Amino acid sequence: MSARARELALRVLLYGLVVSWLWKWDFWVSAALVYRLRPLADGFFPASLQSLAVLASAFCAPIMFALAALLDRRARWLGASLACFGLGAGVLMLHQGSYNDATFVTSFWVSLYGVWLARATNTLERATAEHAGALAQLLCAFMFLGGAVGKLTSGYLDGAVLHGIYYEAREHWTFALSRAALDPAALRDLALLHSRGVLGIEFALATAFLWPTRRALPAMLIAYALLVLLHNFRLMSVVGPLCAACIAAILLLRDTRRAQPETAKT
Amino acid sequence: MRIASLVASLPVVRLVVGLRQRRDRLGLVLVGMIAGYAALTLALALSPQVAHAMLARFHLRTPSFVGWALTAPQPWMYNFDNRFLVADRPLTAAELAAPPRPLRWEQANHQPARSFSFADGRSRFLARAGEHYFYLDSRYRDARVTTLYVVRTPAANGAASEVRRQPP
Repeated sequence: MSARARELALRVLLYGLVVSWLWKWDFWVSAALVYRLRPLADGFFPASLQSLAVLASAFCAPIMFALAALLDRRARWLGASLACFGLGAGVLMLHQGSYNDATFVTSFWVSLYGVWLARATNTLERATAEHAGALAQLLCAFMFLGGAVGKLTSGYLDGAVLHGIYYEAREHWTFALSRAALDPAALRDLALLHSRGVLGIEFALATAFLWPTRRALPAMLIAYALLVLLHNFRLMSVVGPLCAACIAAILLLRDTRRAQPETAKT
Repeated sequence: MRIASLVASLPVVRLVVGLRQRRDRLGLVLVGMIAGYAALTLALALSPQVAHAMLARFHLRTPSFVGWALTAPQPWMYNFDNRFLVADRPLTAAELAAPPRPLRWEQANHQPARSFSFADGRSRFLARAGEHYFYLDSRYRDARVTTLYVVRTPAANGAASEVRRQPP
């Protein structure tokens, strides 16, 4: 593995995290105004995890640190910046105003992956690229497992949940088109098909940690792209870090494969 | 023999063996964390007690905040059949079963307590001063958790709304 490929992989992870956190920037700006205007006193959360200042710091500090690290040509701060993202995501995953946004769950895991990668790639060994690929596919398969197992309930098996969430009123092009073209009964049938299809794909991809890495990583990238295109463009904030982990691993594996014939010659 | 070599060639097995050979503790910790949370995820489907605990987590009813925080990294996106209903007065069991118009149960993709805690819920439901009744209902297989939150919103902007949990 070359030092250049290693640096590129870490930059891809950081760009993925920055883009995914800024993907809904307009929502977060209006959310901050709402939280200021309508604070909520809920004894379940510690006071610090109800504070708007903590929320804003945990959100902004990793982004600012990452932008500084990405602009630095010497790439000294990439690992530390990924650790900062991990810390920020850890806080936001537990904060009253952000705990329910899955962006911070995927960001938390991908930041940990990034910290490991930054440390492991210091040795520039060939095996590191293989491990990076295997760990990325394990992480993404684990995310699909969470989605699949949580849907093993009657509301998903009969399509009622997805019908309620998406088909009744969601303005995304797929659902607007379906409502315009189908009567209510056919729409329910489509929701049932959709729900079972999602379950099948999620269970299949939950086994992707057993697949050959070169097949698993592109397959998961395609699944994430379809998820965003067909359901909700805002989901990019959730899957962005996972896409970045897949792309970073693919880049490292490609670099290793390219270097192999040259090593064989010498 | 063939099965053993097949297992040894699996990416995840090569990963663990490689990390152990290199004494990569951070890598092993990360794989261990994924394995632990994956086991919790599988237990959700197998154990009604775990399912009940995870449903309660979605209603912010885990007995301790630390316990709730420890389960936060488990991937919970689009889990369970979650609904919520918001009213400006307490509802009877009959009204909850068939809500009078314009009240209605709304589907939530996950974390139904977001209906009052997250920004969009606060601006939608807490704009008016007074008491707001949030009924949450989550189901997973045979497990079900229902919760009632009463949120008292003061008239003054910037003053905190008070959240209380009540038996429904």
